[in-house]
Amino acid sequence: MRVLGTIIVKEMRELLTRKMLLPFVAIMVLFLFIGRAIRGERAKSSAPQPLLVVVHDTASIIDTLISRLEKSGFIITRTDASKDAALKRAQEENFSALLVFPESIAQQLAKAESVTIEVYTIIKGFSFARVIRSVKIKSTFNQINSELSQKTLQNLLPNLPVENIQQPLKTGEFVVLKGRVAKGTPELIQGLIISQTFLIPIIFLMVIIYASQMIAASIGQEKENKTLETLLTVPINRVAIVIGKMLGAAVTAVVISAIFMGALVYYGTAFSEIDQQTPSSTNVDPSLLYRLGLNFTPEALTIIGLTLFLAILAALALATLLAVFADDAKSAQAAITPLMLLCLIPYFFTMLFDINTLSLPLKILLFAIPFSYPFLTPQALIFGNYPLILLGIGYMLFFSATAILITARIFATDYLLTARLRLWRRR
Amino acid sequence: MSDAVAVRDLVRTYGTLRAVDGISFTIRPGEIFGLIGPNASGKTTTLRVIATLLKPTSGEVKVFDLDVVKQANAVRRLISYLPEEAGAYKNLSGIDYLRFMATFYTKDTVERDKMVEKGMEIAGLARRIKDKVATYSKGMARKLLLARALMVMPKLAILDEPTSGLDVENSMEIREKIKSFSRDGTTFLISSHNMLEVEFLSDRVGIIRQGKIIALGTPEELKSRYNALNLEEVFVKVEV
Repeated sequence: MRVLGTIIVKEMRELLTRKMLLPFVAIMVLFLFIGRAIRGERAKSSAPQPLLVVVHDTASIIDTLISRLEKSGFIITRTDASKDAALKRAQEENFSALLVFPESIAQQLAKAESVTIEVYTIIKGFSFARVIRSVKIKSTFNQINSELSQKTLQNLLPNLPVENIQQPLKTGEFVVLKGRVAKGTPELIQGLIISQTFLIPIIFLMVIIYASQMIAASIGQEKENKTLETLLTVPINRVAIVIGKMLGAAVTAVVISAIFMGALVYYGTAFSEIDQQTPSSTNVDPSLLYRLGLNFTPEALTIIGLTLFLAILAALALATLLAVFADDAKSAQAAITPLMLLCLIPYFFTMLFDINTLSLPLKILLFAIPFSYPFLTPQALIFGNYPLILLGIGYMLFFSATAILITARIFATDYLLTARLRLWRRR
Repeated sequence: MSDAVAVRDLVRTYGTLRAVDGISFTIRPGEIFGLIGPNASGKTTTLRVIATLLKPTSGEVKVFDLDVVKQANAVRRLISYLPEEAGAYKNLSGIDYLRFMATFYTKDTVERDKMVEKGMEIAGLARRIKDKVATYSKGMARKLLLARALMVMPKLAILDEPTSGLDVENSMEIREKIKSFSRDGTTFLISSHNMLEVEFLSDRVGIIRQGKIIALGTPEELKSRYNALNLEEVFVKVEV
């Protein structure tokens, strides 16, 4: 254990260098910066928006409409100027939009005629905040429309329930999952799951790829800096060298991924906050996932963590095997390209396809890749597909154990020092 | 007394190339044995086999009666190997590198610290021992690596081109250290292109060419056998 600990610490010190960390820190700062900027835009979008309204009438309905707009968070400035003059003023004085009420609006409404209110949105950019602002005007008018029609109908049909006349047919939508029934639409459930789990595959992909790169870099550096020969002559078990290197690389990968994910989560939540801000978004009850059993319990999270750990182990063992054939850190990185492709296949498959409807050859391909299982496990847990989870754990254990044994065997032979030489001579 | 190293009919091939072609020699305990020869003559391969890094294709190699293949781990406890182009971990300081390597030789932290002290003394890098290896000159790095090899007080030190690429001052310093450790009982197997260095250091010399030992003896014996003034002349005459 002491020797193992010494190797792990040494590996981390060799891998976590300023030069290596700098690009990660730069990306992290970039994500934080973008997240902050998005939050700033969000704050701008929720601030009261100034609207210039052209009105040539003094009817009480105008006051009602304007006070309704003010209640929805708009700062209204009235004008009786011409449309062109008002448009010029709106642009010059930084109004968000110009609303032109027709002169005969009161009479038209009284006669139940359709009235067109012209809305001129002043576009000065295409940021999120600006998109949200224009949506807000539209949705406010939808609400006003509904209120007006309700009022008119109520006047005409005082004894009837107006809401039922407006919406004679309603759908009460339910979803059924694993025998549990809950109110909601499939789109809503899918949206909720995606919003809560979209980061999981990215985390998996990052951790697995980083861990592989770390171990490849470690072995490549040992060869490049000519330290491997010395290390192989010290009186320690070669398996300890292999395991120590793998664990050092795994810990380093987890540390880097954690830093990275912190920034990514900050960046991601900035977007989800914006989603919640848009008036068109449905009011979602977060307990819906719990009622359907779609939330991840501590046990489920443990299983997901276990599959990820085993996938990292499998990736490290495979990366070590591939890096054995490299001469230096650069060629070691190139040597693990096949492994990265193997990680990307399940990442895209699980994002784009339903694995149940995949053709048999593609299913076999997906199940043969040990790194597929962490990607498949969250969905398997939701649908109670426990045999798949057990198969994954068993397969990854077998794959990792086999790869570690082969790697340790290679470390125990002189193949590590002669592999390239033999390959070269065969050419 | 048994031999420190006993090499019998050692053959090592890489595909069709016979890098070492049936060599035999012995090294007595406490002796400095020099293996000299041109590039690609089989020196490094021989050293790597004795250091347990490469397995012989055929033949037998024993270090203090331990077989380098069957008892590799036991052999590793007795030896220290300094490869020709060895490097140290660049992101560790000199002292951390010595501490890291010492951990593999003892479980006792007091003993480990003693080894590190010894290593610092051999390296002679003064305050620079606390700096990162990446900032060292070639000579400083080589002295650190020699210190690493000798601080564990090996019974057999295998040094491949110990002064390769070093200036006169650093080379002399390293040669002095080898002599001093030899006086304290360490056996040395040294390979070098530098015939004069080997002549100065070695008790006995083996000349290797195309994987075969073509001459073996003390520097004096070889000089008198080939009627030469120094080992360089011996080497040229043997080549002819």
